[in-house]
Amino acid sequence: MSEPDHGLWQALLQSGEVIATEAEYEHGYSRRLRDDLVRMVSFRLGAEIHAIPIRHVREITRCFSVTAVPRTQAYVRGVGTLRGELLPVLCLASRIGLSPASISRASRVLVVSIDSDAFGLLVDEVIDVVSLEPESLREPPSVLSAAGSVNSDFVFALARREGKLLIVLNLTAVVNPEDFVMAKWRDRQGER
Amino acid sequence: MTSQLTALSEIQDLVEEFSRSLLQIEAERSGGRDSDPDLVNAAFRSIHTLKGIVSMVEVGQLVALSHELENCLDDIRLGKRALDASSLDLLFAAVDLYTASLAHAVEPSRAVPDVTSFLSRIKDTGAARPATRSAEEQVSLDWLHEDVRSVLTEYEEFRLRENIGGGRGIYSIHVSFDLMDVDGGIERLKSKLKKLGEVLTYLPSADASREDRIDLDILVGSGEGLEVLRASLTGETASIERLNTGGRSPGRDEGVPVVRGHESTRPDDVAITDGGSGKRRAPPSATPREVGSVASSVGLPGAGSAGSAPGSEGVEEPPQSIRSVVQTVRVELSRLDALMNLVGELRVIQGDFTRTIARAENTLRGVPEVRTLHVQTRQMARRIDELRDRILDVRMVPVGQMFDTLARVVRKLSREHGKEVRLVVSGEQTELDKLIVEELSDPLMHMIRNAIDHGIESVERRSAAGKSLTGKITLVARQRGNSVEIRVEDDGQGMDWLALRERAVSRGLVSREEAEVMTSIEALRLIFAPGFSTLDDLSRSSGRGVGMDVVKTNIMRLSGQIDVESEVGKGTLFRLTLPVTLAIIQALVIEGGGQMFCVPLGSVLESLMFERSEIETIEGFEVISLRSEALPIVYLDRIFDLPRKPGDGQLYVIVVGLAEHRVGLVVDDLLEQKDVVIKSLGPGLDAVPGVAGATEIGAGKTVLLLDLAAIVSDAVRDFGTGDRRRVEGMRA
Repeated sequence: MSEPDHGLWQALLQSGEVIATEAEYEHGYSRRLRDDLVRMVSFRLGAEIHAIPIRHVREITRCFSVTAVPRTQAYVRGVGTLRGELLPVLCLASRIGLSPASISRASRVLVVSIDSDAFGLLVDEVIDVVSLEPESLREPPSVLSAAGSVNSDFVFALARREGKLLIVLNLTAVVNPEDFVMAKWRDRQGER
Repeated sequence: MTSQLTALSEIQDLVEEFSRSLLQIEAERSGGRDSDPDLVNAAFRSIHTLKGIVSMVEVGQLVALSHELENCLDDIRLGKRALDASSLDLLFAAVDLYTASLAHAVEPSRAVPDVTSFLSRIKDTGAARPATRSAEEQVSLDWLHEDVRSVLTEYEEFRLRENIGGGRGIYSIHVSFDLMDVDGGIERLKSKLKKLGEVLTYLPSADASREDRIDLDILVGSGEGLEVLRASLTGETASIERLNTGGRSPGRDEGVPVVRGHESTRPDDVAITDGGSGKRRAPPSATPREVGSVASSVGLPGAGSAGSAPGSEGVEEPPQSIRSVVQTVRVELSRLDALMNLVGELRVIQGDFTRTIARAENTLRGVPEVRTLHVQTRQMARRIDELRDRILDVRMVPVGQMFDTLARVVRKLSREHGKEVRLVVSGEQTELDKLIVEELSDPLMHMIRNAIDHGIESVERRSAAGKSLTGKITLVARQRGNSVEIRVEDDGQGMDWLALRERAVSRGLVSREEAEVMTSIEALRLIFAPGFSTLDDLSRSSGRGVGMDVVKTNIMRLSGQIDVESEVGKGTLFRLTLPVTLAIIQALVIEGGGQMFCVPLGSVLESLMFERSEIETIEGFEVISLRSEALPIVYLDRIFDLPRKPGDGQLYVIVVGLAEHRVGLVVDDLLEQKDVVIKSLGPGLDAVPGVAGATEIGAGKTVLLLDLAAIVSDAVRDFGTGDRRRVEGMRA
């Protein structure tokens, strides 16, 4: 960076102006004001709006045919084939204790990857990609965890977005492969 | 990382090659024959190459190990160290060290092998064993032309002396090969000569007859006469003569050892030298004889020797070895799996395509292109199938490698147990999917351990029983249609089925009443039952609490089957039947609880149709009668909590075998039989008991593959939780 006139530089700094670097002159002012924003995919489950970090979302697809797998929890809708790859598909609503989703035109499957494993999450509607300031995230009300609700583990934080409550989910708690198989069949397996 | 892995697998191959040579050497030794010097040399070369590779990747103390081992083998092949039982033991121990070091390199949690103590052992024993032949005793090589002697390696010189010392004649063959066919020609000639004697060396000759030919001088040591050797050269452009090896050869000491090689005392020798051109050859490659060439030896002298270095290192390695290495490619299995997946998808798409055309046909009746389209899709289908078969081919490996490992186990264990055991192997070329071979080696090893531990008797008992003192374990692989059969047979004491039955009763595995009605075959199958062990004292190798039930489970996991036959005093035979490949299996598509499933055809004993009215109950358990035996039945929809199909009269039953049990699985319908590509269900769902995977059938339809063994064993356990006597009906 070529050094601008020292006096001018200081004056600008004091005025609080943001000074563009030389690289930015060259590449244009595409700089975001902040780089700590969390980008999330927001979607609807019943009447609630939820969100998960976009870095986990590999793709968003229309619903595809899913084969039920016996001996699994009710929220496991089954296994589907997406471009030759088999992946478990979960009903996110029933997983977090809401009434199970029914498929509509707006229904989508979020394909998320956790530790390079892919999972499909069925949601009622994908709404938006939002950028949230970390400081706008609020802890979930303590009453949730005090009530011993399973859901408390699933909620990572709360935020407000255009006047509506946005529930940020803790993806790794929601998608736990060890929980897919019904408990009584999980025990059985150990004997084999 | 990948290059490291590649190097490791290369090292492994070489170690296996080395071990193979050792086994052959040992086989020859125990057969009372002199070990083939080529085998010792092959072992030496494996280690020599290995030394080169390990010096590039840092794997434990393998560099030091390879170095010492190379010295040791060099001493052996030069006769400076005896090749006896103890040095063979040492060499076999090295194989284990290599294997352990590799295992440690791949999985650092494995134990670090103790190379250091081995190194001191190999040095100690080496020092204790002086050369077998002192210098004075050595056969003189004065008769050999100095120029030839100077290019012989120490090993070649040693072999030459050994041959003369052993009373064999030394022959010189001058042979000319077409430049294009030189590699093949050398191999061809070598294999012919090997039957008659030992190829001591071959030197490029300066006597090139023509520009497009390469001439070689080959020294051969043989106990055969000249005529026999010459007969073997039929078809080659070659000439042969016997060399005057000085005092040792009878009646021959003319004192002109350098040039005058041809003998005139024997008529056959005369016949050869008759055609000689009398030309002296260039020193570096010349052997002491005059050329008696059958072919034209006039031409362009010196041209043929171009590119062939006369140095001692250069002549040892024939040029073709480099080529064969380059033509091999190592591929990770996962890459082939990816290709296989793609082919599976292609087939699915092709199926969709065919259906679309069939639908279009109704609306486009009479359009000629539709017909063409039909033909083209069929062609495509054929090509896709071909592609699939080719990819499967690539995954196939001969079982021989695994057999070699087992041969080492036999050797080691028979020593430990002080028993004489010979392993007879056949069908090593039989090919199986690499994955299956990997999964198979543990069960097979276990069976062989059992055979040595419990099967083969001690020498004293064998002699008392009038059997040959050496026990025999036979390992045979052969392909039978779409599956491979592997037999493991021993000629040991066999199993007494009455004793097995008693044990099962005392272990509480079967009731006294059940035992009473058991046939010998059923009783023998008891060894596959969990918790059954024939020896109370746990022996070192096979009694680790796992038994034949684990073997059976592992075989079943590979969609295979295992059966046993045994006769007291005669021996025991295990027969394993395995699918050739795992990626694609033959499946029976069924319907149960309103859902489609497929089951591996290999685990279906038979499928039947029954009337509902034929079902009877034994103390509350439903059975149907199959060939006058009661077959207990379980319902797929009940097992999986699926909605029940409203009952009409008929039901379908798949008969599944599990250990000594036969169980019928009731399903709604049998749909079709087809080849399917099996995939894992992915994280979480792969742990569902009773489901082994899934496949795609038709347009994006995923169908689950049932794990029949798990389903039926669950069902059997449910029977078992009731009164034990209720299981009565389950004996097939």
